[in-house]
Amino acid sequence: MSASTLFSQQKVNSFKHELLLDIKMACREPSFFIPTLAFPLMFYVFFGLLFSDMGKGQTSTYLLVSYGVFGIMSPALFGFGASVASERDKGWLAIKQLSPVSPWQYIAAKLFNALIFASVIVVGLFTLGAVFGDVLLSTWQWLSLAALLMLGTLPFCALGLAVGFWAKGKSAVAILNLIFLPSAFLSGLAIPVIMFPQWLQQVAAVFPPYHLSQLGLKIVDMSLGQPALIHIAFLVVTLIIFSVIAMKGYQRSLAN
Amino acid sequence: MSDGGNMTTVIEIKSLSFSYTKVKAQKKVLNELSLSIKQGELVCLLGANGAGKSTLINLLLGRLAPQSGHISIFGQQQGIREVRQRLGVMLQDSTAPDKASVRELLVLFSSYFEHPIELPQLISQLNLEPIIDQYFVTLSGGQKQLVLLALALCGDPDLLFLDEPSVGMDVTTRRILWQVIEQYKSYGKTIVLTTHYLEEADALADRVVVLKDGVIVADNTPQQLKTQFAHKLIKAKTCVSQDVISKLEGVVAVSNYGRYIEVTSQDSSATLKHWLTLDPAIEDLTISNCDLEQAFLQITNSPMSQEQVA
Repeated sequence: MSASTLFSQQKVNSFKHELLLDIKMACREPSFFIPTLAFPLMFYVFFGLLFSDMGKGQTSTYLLVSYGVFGIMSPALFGFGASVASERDKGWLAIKQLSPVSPWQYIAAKLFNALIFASVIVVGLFTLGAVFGDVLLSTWQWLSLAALLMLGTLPFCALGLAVGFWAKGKSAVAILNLIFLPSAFLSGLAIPVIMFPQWLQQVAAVFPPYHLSQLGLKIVDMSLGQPALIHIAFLVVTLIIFSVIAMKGYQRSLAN
Repeated sequence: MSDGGNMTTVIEIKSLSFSYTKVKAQKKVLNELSLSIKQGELVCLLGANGAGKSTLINLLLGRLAPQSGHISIFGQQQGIREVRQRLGVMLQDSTAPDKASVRELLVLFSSYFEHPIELPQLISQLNLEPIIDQYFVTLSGGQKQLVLLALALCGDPDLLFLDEPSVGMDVTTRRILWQVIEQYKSYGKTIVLTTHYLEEADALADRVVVLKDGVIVADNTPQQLKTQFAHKLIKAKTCVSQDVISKLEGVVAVSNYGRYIEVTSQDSSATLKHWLTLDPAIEDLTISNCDLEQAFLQITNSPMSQEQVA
């Protein structure tokens, strides 16, 4: 297939419609966008701003990273996983699979959709932190943190997609909640890992959010000091494993 | 149908077999099935639940891979994108997302095809104008089916699969469905239809293909099928037991509806003559012609039909 047919006007147009409709549908689902957008911002206001130490922005900076990770997980997991599962349940996925559209189109649309929601959360958190939380970072730090959080959605998108292709609609939401909240807390997003007992700190290291938040904390010089490469490797392996699981799930969905 | 020299074959199935488990002893869902459908034909697939209809459709759509035998659609392998460009599908149990408007769904789906149909034309054809900006979730069952039909027609398909399209449709929407089907047929499009409404098959189909236990037990025009099973249906209140009646001359099938007994007979006068000698006080007697539904029931119920195939 030549590049001209790969990105023909028809396909660009089609992708635009796919993405727009995906975003519109997400915005029409309050049970998705309210918790997704409001929770990280609300938690950050409570724990990062109101209950902070009023010091030199230590807590508000640390929690900016934590709730940044917490914030981008939700559109990745639920925007991806729950919506794929419900579209599969409805048979909408089957209708699309029988149409000429490439599966990459609607998966890419969902990925962009998750990234757009994630960026809204990141911008919101950054604004709160900078304006009300005495978070003082260099331009480079702000930008790298934002870029890290955007890239960091990918492994969670893969995880969400894997659950979406394997679990049924309603149970997908339950499974994703069971993954989302415990892994967020055990990764030290709510209470810093440093305050965990030793054994629990070791448990934290098996969860992807821990590694993403450690990378973020490295940018603001607050990490536990493990090598960045370990964290990156862990997240890349997570991305690959769940992408493969999702792909297998997709192939299975073709047949029923 | 047989002399269609200039008609191209759209669907060609050769000795297709399929079973869901790979165990040899397992009964095959489809057994050495062969079928050829030509351009412009409207074929209705009938069969009781478990007869292999859905399996056959999933194989034709490329959602299942044949274990043995061969399928080709437009002379190509089923399921590949070139084939999907020319295919319109309305699946049983498939619906659209709740919070998308009818227009958004149509625009999105049209964008998938290289040569989509003009949307205003499609919208007026299916009378979707009044609901065009409504969310899918707010539509009635019949309206939803019409929207799904519209999605199947978006790409101006050469081959249309309609799996139980009229389920949940009221009289008005079903009339629109029938009109659209007739219209597409008149354009020379090929249509494969499954339905539970035998009158629908009777009204629309050129050809009725009846599946039973994974094989084709009948393949004919609705008219010829009815003639082939030109039985009469006798219904009456009687004191004679079902067992006795089933042994009377000409009787093909007997069933019980409350106090009524319904007898399908190949020779209604002979059956009645014997019946009346057993029960002269027979009440509420009616005799009617067999419709396609009864022909279908006979084809799929009688053990005779299996011998016809063998």
